[in-house]
Amino acid sequence: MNASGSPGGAAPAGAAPAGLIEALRAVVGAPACLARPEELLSYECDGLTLHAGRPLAVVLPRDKQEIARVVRACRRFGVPFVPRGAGTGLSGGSTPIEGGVVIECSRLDRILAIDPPNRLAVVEPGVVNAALSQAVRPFGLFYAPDPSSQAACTIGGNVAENSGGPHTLKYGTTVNHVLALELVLPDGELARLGSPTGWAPGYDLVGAVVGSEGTLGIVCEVTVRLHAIPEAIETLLAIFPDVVSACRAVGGIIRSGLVPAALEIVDRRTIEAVEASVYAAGLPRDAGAVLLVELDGPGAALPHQVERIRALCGDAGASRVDVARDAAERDRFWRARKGAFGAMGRLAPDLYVHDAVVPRARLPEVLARVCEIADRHRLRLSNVFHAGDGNLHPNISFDRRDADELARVLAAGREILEVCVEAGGVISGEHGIGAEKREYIRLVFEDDDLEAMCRLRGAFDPDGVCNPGKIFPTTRFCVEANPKARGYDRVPL
Amino acid sequence: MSDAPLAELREATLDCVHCGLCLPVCPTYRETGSETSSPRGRIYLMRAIAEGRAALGPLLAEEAYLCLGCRACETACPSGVRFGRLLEGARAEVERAGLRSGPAKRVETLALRALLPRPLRLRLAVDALALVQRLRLDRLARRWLPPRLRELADAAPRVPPRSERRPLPHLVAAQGERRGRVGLFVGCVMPELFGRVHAATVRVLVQNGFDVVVPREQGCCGALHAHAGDPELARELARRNAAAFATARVDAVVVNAAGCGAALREAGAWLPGEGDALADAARDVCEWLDAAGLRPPPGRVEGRVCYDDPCHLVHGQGVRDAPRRLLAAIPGLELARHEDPSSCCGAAGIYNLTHPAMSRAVLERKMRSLAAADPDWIASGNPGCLMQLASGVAGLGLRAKVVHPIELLDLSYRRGPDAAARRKPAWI
Amino acid sequence: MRPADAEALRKAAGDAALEEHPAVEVDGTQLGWTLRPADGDALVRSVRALAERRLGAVVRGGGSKLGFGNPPRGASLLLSTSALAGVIELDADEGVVRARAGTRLAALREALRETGWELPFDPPGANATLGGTLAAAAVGPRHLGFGRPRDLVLGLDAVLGDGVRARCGGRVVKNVTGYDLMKLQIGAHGSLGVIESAWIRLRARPACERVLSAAVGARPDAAARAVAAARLASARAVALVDAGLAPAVEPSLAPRDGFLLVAELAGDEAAVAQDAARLAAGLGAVDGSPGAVARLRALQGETFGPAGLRFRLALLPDRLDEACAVLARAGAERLLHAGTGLAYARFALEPDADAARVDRAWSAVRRAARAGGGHAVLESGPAWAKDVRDVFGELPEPFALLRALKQRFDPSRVLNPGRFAGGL
Repeated sequence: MNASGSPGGAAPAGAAPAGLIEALRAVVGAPACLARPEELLSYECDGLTLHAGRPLAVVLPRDKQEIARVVRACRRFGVPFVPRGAGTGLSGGSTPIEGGVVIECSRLDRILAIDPPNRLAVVEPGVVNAALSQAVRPFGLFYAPDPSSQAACTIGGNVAENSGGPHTLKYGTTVNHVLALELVLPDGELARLGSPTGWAPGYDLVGAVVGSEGTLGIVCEVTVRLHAIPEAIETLLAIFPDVVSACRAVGGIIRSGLVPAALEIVDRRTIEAVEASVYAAGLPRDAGAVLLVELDGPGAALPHQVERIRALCGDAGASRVDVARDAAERDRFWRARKGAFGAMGRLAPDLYVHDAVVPRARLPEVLARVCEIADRHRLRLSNVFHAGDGNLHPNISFDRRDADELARVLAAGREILEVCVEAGGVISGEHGIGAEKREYIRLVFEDDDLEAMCRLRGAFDPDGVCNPGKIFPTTRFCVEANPKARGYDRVPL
Repeated sequence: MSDAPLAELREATLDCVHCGLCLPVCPTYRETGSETSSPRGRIYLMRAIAEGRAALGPLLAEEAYLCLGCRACETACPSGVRFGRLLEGARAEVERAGLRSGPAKRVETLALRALLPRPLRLRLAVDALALVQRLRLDRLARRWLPPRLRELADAAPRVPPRSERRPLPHLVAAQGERRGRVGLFVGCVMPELFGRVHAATVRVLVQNGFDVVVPREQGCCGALHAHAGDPELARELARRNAAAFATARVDAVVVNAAGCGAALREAGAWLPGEGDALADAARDVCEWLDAAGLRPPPGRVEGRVCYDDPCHLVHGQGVRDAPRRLLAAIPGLELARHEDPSSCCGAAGIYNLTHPAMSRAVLERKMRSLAAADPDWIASGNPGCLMQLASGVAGLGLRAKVVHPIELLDLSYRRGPDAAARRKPAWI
Repeated sequence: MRPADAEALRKAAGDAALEEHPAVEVDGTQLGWTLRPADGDALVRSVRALAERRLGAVVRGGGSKLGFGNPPRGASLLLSTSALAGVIELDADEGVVRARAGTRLAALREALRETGWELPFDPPGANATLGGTLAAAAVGPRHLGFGRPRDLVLGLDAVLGDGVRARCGGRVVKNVTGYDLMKLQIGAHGSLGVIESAWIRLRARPACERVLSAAVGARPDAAARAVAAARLASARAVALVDAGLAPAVEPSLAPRDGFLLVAELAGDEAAVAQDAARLAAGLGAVDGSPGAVARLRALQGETFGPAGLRFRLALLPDRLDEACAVLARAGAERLLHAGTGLAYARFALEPDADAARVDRAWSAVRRAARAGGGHAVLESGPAWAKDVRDVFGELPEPFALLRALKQRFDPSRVLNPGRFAGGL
């Protein structure tokens, strides 16, 4: 069974150090240790197929002790390792390291405790995000960070990427919801960080670990904060003649001090794709852009807020503002947003999803420039985004078999990020840097800033074995900060 | 191994954007936690093989058949990937390459080629099984069987009494005001093991004003053959059925087995042109009655029923609400909710014979959710599911009775005040 | 201070920046010098000089939190951020502001007065600065509505212990670009870096504010009822105060025993009205006296002058009552922020109080913390009392990790040496 090389794919795996596979099997059992080439193939990338790496083995531990023992085994044999949840990440955060081991955590899928009086839950990292909200619903609670992939992504992955979602505008991201966690450190020891009370003595290591993209250790238990399901919800759909006026409405809403639960914009190109697909939500095809507004809170307060939103949308040029009359209509409004990704995916074999953030007031001009960049590179681009946070998701449909188109996609990507940073923004709002944006992190940070980050990494992982090669652009920084680090040069591309 | 099928496969795999939304609904991913045993992983492997980056080998053979073919991934997929088609293509490739062997394969070949397409032979086999069961020889033999075969023996259904295995009349006239004329697809296994469901179906259709025609020349729908990588035989069987119903002059071909229904609706894809009429005419019985407007069933049926979606009805045909609406129309019957009704029960054709361990694991998950609801009835519209759920109920000692939804409707009509409703065709 | 050191510091920060003055006592250490860099670059040079000369410094903003932390070990001067003051950028469209660390919170509030935004910090201490507030992760009664400081900072510049200036985060509300070093600095009490400036996410000024007070008798579920009040949608502050302390906050209500409850509601008029009605109905709450929240804040920040202990406990909401009972039995005076589980326990120290007395107080507090599912720190007390036990309570685990971070961020141990947990 040989795998031949292919463009954009991984080179054949080097041989594993003698005894590694046996050692791993001794920890997790043979069925939970995958080492056949075709099995490893299916793990070579996560949600981002442009980056691939072939690991030596994939292990599927069942509990935190197994994770710890796997890490220790990897250390004994000098191989790096990469944690993985559901593999839905979009920046290559769980792309395997050549010659490393993938530690797939999705079998740790138990909700360990739900504590309604204290509004918290304790979960294993493989619990699916949507399953958590579903499980706490009977207690009148919900888990707020709700990325679009929530039906599949895991809490562990959310912790690694500090995931967001439409409702982060009002409630915050994952880092605002993790009270405590247990981690397998890169040396194989278990560590408990944080406190269920939300005020832990010592440094805020929870804050450092959330969003660290699996480079500081492997999360094996998470204590999360839950919110009460709001008393009332109102959902509005506003139609605008173009994206710029929709963005202006968003700016007006933010400026007014209102904090809706969600503010999402879908642009015309996306509307066309959605209406032509099975997700058709009955949106007017000639709408330039659609703004979805969700308000939640005490029932008494909402009517006033609805009127203010109406007025603000009208001021910005909305041709129509509809308020959902019932849950079914609310679902219909949201379908326009949630079906976008799938609808875009059907336009071409591959989809490149960007993830930049800009100050909301700069949205109109940034959007105009993004569309101009796409047109200039002759690319099919559409915009779906969490306008309320200023988090853009320019999506480019393309075919990676066309090398020229791929080159244009990457070139356009760089220009888009530059434009966003110039406008005071950053290059990632929720997907993380991973392998994909390593080279772009210099658009935002200078050498000193990166070097400081490496100090954090060095404190947790002095040997550079935990998901090496992610986040930082070259080996230079982290090697200087951590003389013993190795493994950074193994990630392709 | 010819190139053309691989290239076709590859084009179909390009719809997948690798998002992973199919993972949490996949029964084998849920049990193993392994990407390789997920739809996304399987598609990735197929694509890699088609592109020459991986060899067509044992892993594809394993995974292609470890997959239950439930197609829950199709419902979850935002990009509209037709995983069922990909799976059939992959299985066909595996068969062509001769990569499968072993007892599972042998049982399958025996059942699929020698028994199911041949009604007479099938009846004799079932007669033999009935005899063995009546003489309690099955219980005796069980003790000396090796574990693997014991599992097979346990999975064997109880053969119903002769009275439920008689052939249906060719034509049964509508009662009350006539609304139309439908054909009934009877299939291969249903008449032998679920004759009572066919009888109930005929009665309910007739109660609702439809003449029911049961053409004699019809036979197995070929679903299992298509799923087992034998498209040739599947096409042959489809051809036979297309011909059988071609002259029946019916408004619809009503099917009460979800697996068969899904297959008949694909007759046009299997046999372009020839199979179109059959594919257009095929309807699930609940879908048909719901669309036509069910005549309110009058009799009370007290109790709680959990409706469990057969995969080939909810994912394969997109029929989800119609059966529930019909059940809700029965006076006294409460539709109880259970967790994850549209996830597979593990029957998957003869999967419980070829992959007993995974089938059992998937069934256990399903039974946990049903046990928590503790209903009086569990209703599902597919024979394989009915057998699997019944074995699950027996295993846990639950009190629920496993029935086809049409049987509950039939019960209601027969309990109604109208004496005519209770008039049965003499043979039932 | 050695002349060579003084010269090096003057060279780094400017002649005017180094000042000798009558000794200021910080937890038993007498400090007679203050280095006050005038801008960010001077700060960088200053810290570098401190590192090169191995001079430990106690970092001081407004001085209101100077009493936090273990007694300094090896500090020879104060490093003041008071000259690093001022709003750098106010973006009223976005609702964010960037200000230097030495900016007084009062000045920040003044800068926001004409806008529709308000500053989401209200710790006690009239001189509190932005940097000090963040370094101490200090909160006041309104943190229930505002959130924790760590959740309000979008970006932060800090100068590390070897003089490297590190920028983290940004000015946007959502950001996963590299590691979140801001969280490390916030609450680190200046031991990992000197905060130079920060981007803060502001809150909309509420349309309506109301304060209500109620007497809550000595009942075993007093805290539970307060927690329920804190979970009202418009609750911005909800505190329980021992009856004995009540007159200092709410002169008009004088419960003989049990607690005084003070609740501040803020937001939409309709929502506030609804929640006020609920409080009135459920707790018999009436309109509070003007200034009640300010007095509450002051009370939170008080000790008994030089001879008292003030502990801060972090507890789980459904175990507040148990913890309170333990504290009461130990003779502590209590102030609780019901919604977030932060409790303050004060013990008066008699003139002849000794280490054993402090130890007893600690034991009681730790019992209460355990009963409450959390932990406790000693926020304020005389220097000799701090020698009895580490003010941070138990050693945070894994301590090796904290030590590794300190070692990398402040290799020469010049920033608040000895003040953090475990003497870091």
